[in-house]
Amino acid sequence: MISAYFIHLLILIGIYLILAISLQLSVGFTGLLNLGHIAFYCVGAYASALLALNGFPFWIYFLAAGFLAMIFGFLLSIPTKKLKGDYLALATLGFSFVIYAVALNWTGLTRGPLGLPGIPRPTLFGFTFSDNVSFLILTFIIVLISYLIIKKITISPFGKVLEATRDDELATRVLGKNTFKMKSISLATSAFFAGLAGSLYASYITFIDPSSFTLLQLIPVLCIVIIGGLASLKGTIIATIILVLLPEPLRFIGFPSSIVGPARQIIYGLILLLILVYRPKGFYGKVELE
Amino acid sequence: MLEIKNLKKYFGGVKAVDNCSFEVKPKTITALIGPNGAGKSTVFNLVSGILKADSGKIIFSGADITKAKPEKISNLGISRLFQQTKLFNNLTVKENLLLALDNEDTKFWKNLFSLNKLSKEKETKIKEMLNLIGMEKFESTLTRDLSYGQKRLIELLRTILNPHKFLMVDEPVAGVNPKLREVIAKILEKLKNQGETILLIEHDMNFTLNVADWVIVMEKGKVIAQGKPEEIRNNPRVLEAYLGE
Amino acid sequence: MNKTAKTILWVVIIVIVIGAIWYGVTRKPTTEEVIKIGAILPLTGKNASYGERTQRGIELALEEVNKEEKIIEVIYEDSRGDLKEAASAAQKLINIDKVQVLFSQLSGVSQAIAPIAQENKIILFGFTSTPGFTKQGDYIFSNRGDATNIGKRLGEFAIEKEYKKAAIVYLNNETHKGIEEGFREIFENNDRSVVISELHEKTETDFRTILTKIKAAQPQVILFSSRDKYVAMMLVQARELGLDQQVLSVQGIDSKSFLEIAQHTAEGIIYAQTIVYEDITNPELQETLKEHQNRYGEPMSLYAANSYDVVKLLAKIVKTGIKTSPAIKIALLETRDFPGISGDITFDETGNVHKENKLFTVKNGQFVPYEE
Repeated sequence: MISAYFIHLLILIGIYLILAISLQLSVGFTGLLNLGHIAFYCVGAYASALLALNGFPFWIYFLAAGFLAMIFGFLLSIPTKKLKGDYLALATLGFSFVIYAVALNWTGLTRGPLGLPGIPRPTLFGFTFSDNVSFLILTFIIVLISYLIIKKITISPFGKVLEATRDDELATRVLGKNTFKMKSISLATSAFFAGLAGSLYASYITFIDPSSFTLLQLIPVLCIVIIGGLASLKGTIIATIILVLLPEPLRFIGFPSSIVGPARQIIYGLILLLILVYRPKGFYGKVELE
Repeated sequence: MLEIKNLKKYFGGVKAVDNCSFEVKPKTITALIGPNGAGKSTVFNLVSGILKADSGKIIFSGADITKAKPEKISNLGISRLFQQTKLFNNLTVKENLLLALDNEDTKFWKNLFSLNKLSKEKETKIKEMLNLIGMEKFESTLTRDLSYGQKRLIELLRTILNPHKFLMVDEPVAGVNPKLREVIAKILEKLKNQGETILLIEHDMNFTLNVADWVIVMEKGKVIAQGKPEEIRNNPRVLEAYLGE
Repeated sequence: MNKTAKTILWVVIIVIVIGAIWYGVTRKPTTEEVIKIGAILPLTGKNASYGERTQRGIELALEEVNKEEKIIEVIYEDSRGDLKEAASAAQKLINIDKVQVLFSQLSGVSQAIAPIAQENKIILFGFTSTPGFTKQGDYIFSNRGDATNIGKRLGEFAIEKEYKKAAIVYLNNETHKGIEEGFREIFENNDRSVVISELHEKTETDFRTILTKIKAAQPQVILFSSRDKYVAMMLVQARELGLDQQVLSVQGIDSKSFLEIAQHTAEGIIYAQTIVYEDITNPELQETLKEHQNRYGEPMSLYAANSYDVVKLLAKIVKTGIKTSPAIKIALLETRDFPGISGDITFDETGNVHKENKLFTVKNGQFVPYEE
């Protein structure tokens, strides 16, 4: 059954797509160096898992994951509203550490490093998405809706104000736009979709622990955003597919068992390096950040 | 229209703006001149809310805007051109100009659920403006691909398109070739004829004295003289300030 | 980057890929008689040392069982300790490689793979002591036993020694939590008290705050339940602070790096695990222990012993002509007292083992069985 393996990979692509295009909204389109994305993903995953384990229906815990992450995104945007570039990156990084530390140490709620096992698969209108084919369809629909919403935001005049804020915040303010509000909305929307991705992830793997939400887990998503090209949704989709699938053929190269782990990672890293050497702005990157 | 009273702004020990007071009358072009570091741009930054004054007051159309935020000041009707180009480099000429027209584009839900069809009115307005300066071909060009002079022109258009009662223009012709300089002078002239109120910073004395109705001279953060252009031209104190540079 | 650098990069990639493919092609083709095992281990990243030790056990066993003809092939996948990565690896091993048995290490990764293995009716051996792990399905097995048993054994020892007050520092994860609970249960049920019990995180390296608190509480015995390098650091710091009580510890500290960090402070530490070298009379197993010592320069670890035993047991079943996962499952459950380095194997109905935990100590820089 080759197909079962591919279905699994397609589901992973779907989850990464939601994460990457939503990160693109805050990083690529709004110019916010947002390293808090993994924390929103974490909040979504835990909110979803805890509600699901307590018997709430899918649509409630799925949306709750998104909205809770959105609230966190909004809250994070308040103290960081005046920060730019590296400083914003550091502040949001700190936020990611805090959320990770909470997931690890609030053992009464999250069971800490023991993780939450036995998370149920989603059930909607009496139908349970227990097999991977139906889960893939569900994922696909959610990805499509997420994509359409983010696409709409970015091509609308609202999206242009976000881009203007990225290019020159002061000039945008002098044109009479409240850029703090713009950045807040961008970060909160971005967080909302990260929360949804977290919910999908928790329901798919059926087990979560804090190790899935370390900064290390953000790196592949950031790589997708950069390799796809800042502010390019098309590039992001292509990059997601490539970056998720790239390690897979490497599994079929017969390395000696003693070096199989490191060898694959070295090749993977080299290929990423090559892509950036040939396309420094990513596949479809047009935007230059100052 | 704009009234500045005892405005003060120090940067550490440097008195950038020191007890500065002046007034801009409606429907005039007022020029703010003075040597480098006289505090002209600081005054602009204080008026547009980018910097906060240490003390003093800024009154615009009767409202105290000393502590207001830049976006609030802009929405009250002050539109401003910066000394350095501040275009949105990754957007097209048209998108840059559209951003100036109104603030409907900051409404999230409205934008999410509307069809975003560009109104005829906005479309023609932008076409007209571009025609005025002969840049209609550049509508879809990214502003970062424009020449410096073209950037200045587009930025000036964006400042004018931003709904306003009062224009502040910081060195519009600095570094621009003589041909474009004429175009810009004509635009300013035209604005004046339309009854606009303009506050202008310009280094080029000839340019300034030709377009301005009223001239205010600053040195070391203080207003040292003001009057009609012909008076200023012969004021010994002004000449000293300029020549002593 | 200039042209030369690009060229070099390309050449490196091409050389690696060609080399790897060449290696793949020249390997002996696998016949249909061979059953495949997929091993999802942490081969890179911070837990790589655990994966490495498990891999050593597998390799030693494979050499033995495939000596005459190849009957078992093991395909390795690197989990990097990442759940998604592990899930992808499991899907690939099950659906593409058609493995009949999966191995997994680390409790989180094992938890993520368990539902996939159960759904596909593929046997999963989790090299984890997570309490209740094997209860997740009839295809889920473990050769480690429940962690609580280790704690209980140490608790019994502490009671024998007439210690009245104990202090515990344990790593915040399922296994060590289980050990702590086991110890506490036995110890407190015998009218003694655990005066202080603190957990620590994998990010910590300075335990002086915890140790100072322990010193103030004046216990007679201290249990450090954690991984090798943490226990070593705790030991060094405890002795530094003048804590000279008997220290107890658990399986898995018997590594080179433990001795390197702990140095002389390792002397006299007592730890419990199921490995039983000294009792082994079986010459074949003795040979394996020697071979491990020669090849890797350290005694066989529990991790290596665990995986070694499982591969040997599977080989024995496969030799009888049983080759599919459901049939192997039945054979596993019927196994009685299969002799292993980590103790004799008999599975209960959930697929877990109940091996006797034995006490060990460090004497003159060597890991040896503890004697009164």
